[in-house]
Amino acid sequence: MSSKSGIATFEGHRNFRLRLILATLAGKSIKISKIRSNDVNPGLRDHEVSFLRLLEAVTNGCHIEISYTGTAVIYKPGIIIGGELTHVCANTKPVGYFIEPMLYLAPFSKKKFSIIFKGITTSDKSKDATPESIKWGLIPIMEKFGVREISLYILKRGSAPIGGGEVHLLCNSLIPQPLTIHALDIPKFSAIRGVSYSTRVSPSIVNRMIDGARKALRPTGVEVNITADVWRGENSGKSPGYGITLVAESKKGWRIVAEGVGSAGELPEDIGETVALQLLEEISTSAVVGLNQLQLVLVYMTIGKEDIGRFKLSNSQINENFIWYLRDIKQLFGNEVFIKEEDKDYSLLSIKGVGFTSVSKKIA
Amino acid sequence: LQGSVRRRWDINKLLYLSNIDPAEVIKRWKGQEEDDEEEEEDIEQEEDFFTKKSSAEVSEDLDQFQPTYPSIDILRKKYEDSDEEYENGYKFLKDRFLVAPKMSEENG
Repeated sequence: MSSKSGIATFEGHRNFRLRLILATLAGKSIKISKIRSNDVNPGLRDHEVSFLRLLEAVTNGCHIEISYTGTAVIYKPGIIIGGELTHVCANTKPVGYFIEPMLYLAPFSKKKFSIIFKGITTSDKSKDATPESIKWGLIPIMEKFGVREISLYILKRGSAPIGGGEVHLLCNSLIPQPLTIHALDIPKFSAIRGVSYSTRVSPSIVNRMIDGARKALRPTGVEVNITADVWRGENSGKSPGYGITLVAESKKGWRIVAEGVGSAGELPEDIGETVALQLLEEISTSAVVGLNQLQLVLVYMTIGKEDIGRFKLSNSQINENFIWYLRDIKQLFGNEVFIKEEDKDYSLLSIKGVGFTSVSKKIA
Repeated sequence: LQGSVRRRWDINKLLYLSNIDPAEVIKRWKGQEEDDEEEEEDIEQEEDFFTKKSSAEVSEDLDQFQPTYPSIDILRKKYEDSDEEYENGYKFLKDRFLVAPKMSEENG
């Protein structure tokens, strides 16, 4: 519902990053109001302000206005320029919180993205993406859409709460728009890979996580290959921490990813097992992509060519968040999806692209 | 007559009705809607009208990457306990994995 002034308005702190990203891609101004207005501590959080700063840095000519109480933001997007920069992330969220939305902008920028994110790489306090799940869970999905040269390097690790990590996002492919996809077959997974990592703790913890995960994954019968990644010394940040990321791979390049980070008092074996079972749960309740990849797929399909893209969806994936994504997309791009229920488990989702063109390919 | 026939909603019609909350959309689409309960809720809301709204809430994080899964105990039950032959492959995951045919023991 855009008002007369042409500003799309949103309420609340839901999908904060998605709304700003969609506004940037669509080139439309938005206003978000009532941000945690009933909260004990109202308004924007440190990481949200930090994210706004990051957006300001990768675009040219954007305009951000935050109200006095911090409960409202007006954002007028500029053009995506990218470039080489360093972003010091707020310590309330891990770097994944900032990297994830950049994946939506980087391929459509004027210049290549090369950003170093400094901060916490993994945290047990929030459910944000770790560098591993971005690398193994989101980047392969982007490859499906024609974004081939994008990579993420972990230069230093840093666990919560103090951090000290450094991650480098590099996007070399600049494409006019994502390819239209037709994913009608439910992939079969032929291997499970993973990485079990730790900073500043005994290396045996890493192997204990692997044992826990392998035990739960053995009955699947596929090849399970989990790498141990122990970081020590200067590059391992300032806090102790450990975690595991598991990914199921299909031969056609689809991925399902699950991850977990250890907190105080948890047994490493339990974390391994939990993540392994979560991976199985995600596989059994998803179709082509997992819940954590769905948002990326929906946005990429929306900004595709004016063709109809299709993909198979599991009915359990049609949840509250899914509808919020679709409504936010509609509000900024005006397009609707069509869902055809095929049977009791699966549906076919079709989206017509809006015919978006990246700034790098636009003729000024 | 009422109640015996549960109307099944077309998800496409519900998706973009902005006056219906997404949580409600899911309920209707799955056919879990219970009219009686809703009316009762309305009455309660009227009573609440004059009481002070508890303003000290802590907002939930509505912008996160990892989905919420059932607790480990439920998952364990689902995958390990209820599947008596899980050692040979989880039953309901069999069609999601591509497994090389096993060499039978006699051959080896």
